Amino acid sequence: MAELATARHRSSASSASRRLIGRWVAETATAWSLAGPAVALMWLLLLGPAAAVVLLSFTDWSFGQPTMSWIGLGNFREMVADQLFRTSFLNTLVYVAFTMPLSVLLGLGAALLIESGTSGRGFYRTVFFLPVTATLLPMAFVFQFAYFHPTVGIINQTLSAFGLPTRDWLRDPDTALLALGVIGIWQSVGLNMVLFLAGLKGIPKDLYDAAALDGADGAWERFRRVTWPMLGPATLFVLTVTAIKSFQVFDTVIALTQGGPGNATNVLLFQMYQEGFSFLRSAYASALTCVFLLFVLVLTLLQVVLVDRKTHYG
Amino acid sequence: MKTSIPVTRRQILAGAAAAGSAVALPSYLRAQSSVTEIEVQYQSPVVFDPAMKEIATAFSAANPNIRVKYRAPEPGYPELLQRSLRDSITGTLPDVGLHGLNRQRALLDRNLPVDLTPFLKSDPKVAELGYKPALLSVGQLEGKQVGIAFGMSQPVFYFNADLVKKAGGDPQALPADWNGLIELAKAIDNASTNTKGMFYRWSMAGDWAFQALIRSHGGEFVDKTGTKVRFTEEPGQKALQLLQRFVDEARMKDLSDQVMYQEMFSGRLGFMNTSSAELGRFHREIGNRFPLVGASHPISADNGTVPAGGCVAMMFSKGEAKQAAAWEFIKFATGPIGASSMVKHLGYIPSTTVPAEREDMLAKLYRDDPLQKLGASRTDKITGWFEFPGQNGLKITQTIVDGLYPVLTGKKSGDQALADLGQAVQGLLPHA
Repeated sequence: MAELATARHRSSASSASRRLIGRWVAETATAWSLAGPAVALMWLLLLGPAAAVVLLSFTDWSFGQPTMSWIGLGNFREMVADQLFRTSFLNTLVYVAFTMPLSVLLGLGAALLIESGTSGRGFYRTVFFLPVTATLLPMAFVFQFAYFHPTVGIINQTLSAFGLPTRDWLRDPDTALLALGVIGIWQSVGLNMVLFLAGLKGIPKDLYDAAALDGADGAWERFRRVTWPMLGPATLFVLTVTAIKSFQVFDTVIALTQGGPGNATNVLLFQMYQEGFSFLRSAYASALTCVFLLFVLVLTLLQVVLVDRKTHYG
Repeated sequence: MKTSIPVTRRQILAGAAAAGSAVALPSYLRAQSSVTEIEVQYQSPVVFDPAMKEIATAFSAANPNIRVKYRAPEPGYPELLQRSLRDSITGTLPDVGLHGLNRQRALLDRNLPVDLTPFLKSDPKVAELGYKPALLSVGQLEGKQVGIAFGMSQPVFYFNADLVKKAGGDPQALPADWNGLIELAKAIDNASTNTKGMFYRWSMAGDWAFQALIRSHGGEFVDKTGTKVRFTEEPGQKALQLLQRFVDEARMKDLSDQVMYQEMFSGRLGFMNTSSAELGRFHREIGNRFPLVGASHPISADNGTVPAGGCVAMMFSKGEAKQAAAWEFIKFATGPIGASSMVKHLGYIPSTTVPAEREDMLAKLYRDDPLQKLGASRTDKITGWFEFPGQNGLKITQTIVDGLYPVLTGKKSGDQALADLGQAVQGLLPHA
């Protein structure tokens, strides 16, 4: 009897575990069939090409060449010694350091002003947002002629009206990158403003009332004690997005300076393009792309980690 | 009846042979009535369109069994090269491409162009086309006829005759050497009237002007093995010292080509170098504002030369029928009739010498426009547009532009820039 009971018990245990396994299989199958299309598309459109680029960066393939061979870290070794890479990398960092804080601060400023105003909000929102919707390429040419042109540009016209020295902004190695930065800032302020506006809308009014009860009544105090901390998540998001966007600067470079003068505006993406499409050095361009991807990845991870740890949510 | 048609064994054999050869004939000969379509691609539509349209019309009239289709032209030679390389991957190359002289190696390295030597050798009509061996040589690489020059240009100097006269010079006897040119530039240069003396388009078409400077001093770019830089030798040093003198003595400014064109066309620049193929543009833009005169690019060394600019017609067709049709088009476009259209609209030197000798073609044009003649002069001193060997060939072009720039801004001396450039290019050459 006891034996029988044990056997029955065993069999019921095994059938239970079989049931468990069956359920696990069914669940897994359902999960994969549900997530499958998304996963497949992600591999097809995102991860697959990225993996191909990574693989390509370890070869010596040159565009259109029928053969390629594995050269290990050769491209990355070349990169370390490449003066041009150092220049373009540094230029990219300078560009990011110049455009990111300014476009974030100006976006925040615009959002605060619009939010604190009582009339014409829709009008100002539209005006500030317009550059985001404008196609950058033609606008870059507008900037080139209307603002930066050495003779007819507004900047030099104004400077010479006051008897100040003028310069050829886009041809001067000292100013060309910053001139492109100005265009970049002009374009990104609008989006930052909208993101900050959304952030401001999410701050409960009673926090201001509570702060006022505690004596924080001035505009600055209200900003410092309530608005700024409550804008934490929005600010972090804006910072990351702006940094990544600045990292990707390319269209103004190719339209206005082609990396010149003397590589003063050669940035990472432009070098990537030149190596890959002008010089046909696809493998080296892939290696540069890897560096770029790494940076974007680090920025994104940084945001995720910081969001988890540091920022307050209302 | 039966015996009234005597059929000998020989006749039967001949008939069989004829039938056999008819089957063996290339399909395009068997199907003379059917039309072969070929696709052709060129670049710079603004410059090339008028000539190419004329050539297509004339070609269709002469070859009713070949239909030529032009693909949308690319903006420039680099874009055309990229397009062709992409097409090679997808197997959709055009039958004929008009590629830049300095892009031939990039295409040959990928085994794309069809060697035209057998066509030149076997086609009996080639003799009538008047191809000059020296002009055919610009399309030769590694023992192959990679392409046939559609049009070639050479570096020339164009002068504003009014400014030359005002500065005490003689527009009919322009200086033929660098010292003379620099003195003239100094005499013309006048800050008070906002007049500039000279502009040397040092970054023209990438390294073309650099090659002109080195070649005209008798220099070489790499050694025979293609692994060692040679432009840093004495001719190269002289060339870059000269570039520095343009800046130091002739007060040449670091300004963009676009700005200097405007200065030239509006009459505020004494003289500038350019490609002889730009003659049409100069005539158009200047109109009657001032008389335009020209001089050859000085050649300082006895063995000195100047590089050719321009493009070759290259064949990519696969299959006999397409190749034969493409060859007909290449012959036509680069031959006397095509060349006449091309010279009229573009001002390049053609591969054929026939049109220049014929009154009904170009003889009159060459006689009446001394600047046209200038562009077609001293063809024995024109050499190929050198392509640096190896996978970094195209990158070296940009490296040269970057390397010369500090001389223009006065940040480096010519000697220093040359030494640095030599080192940079050496690192990009194939290893021995």
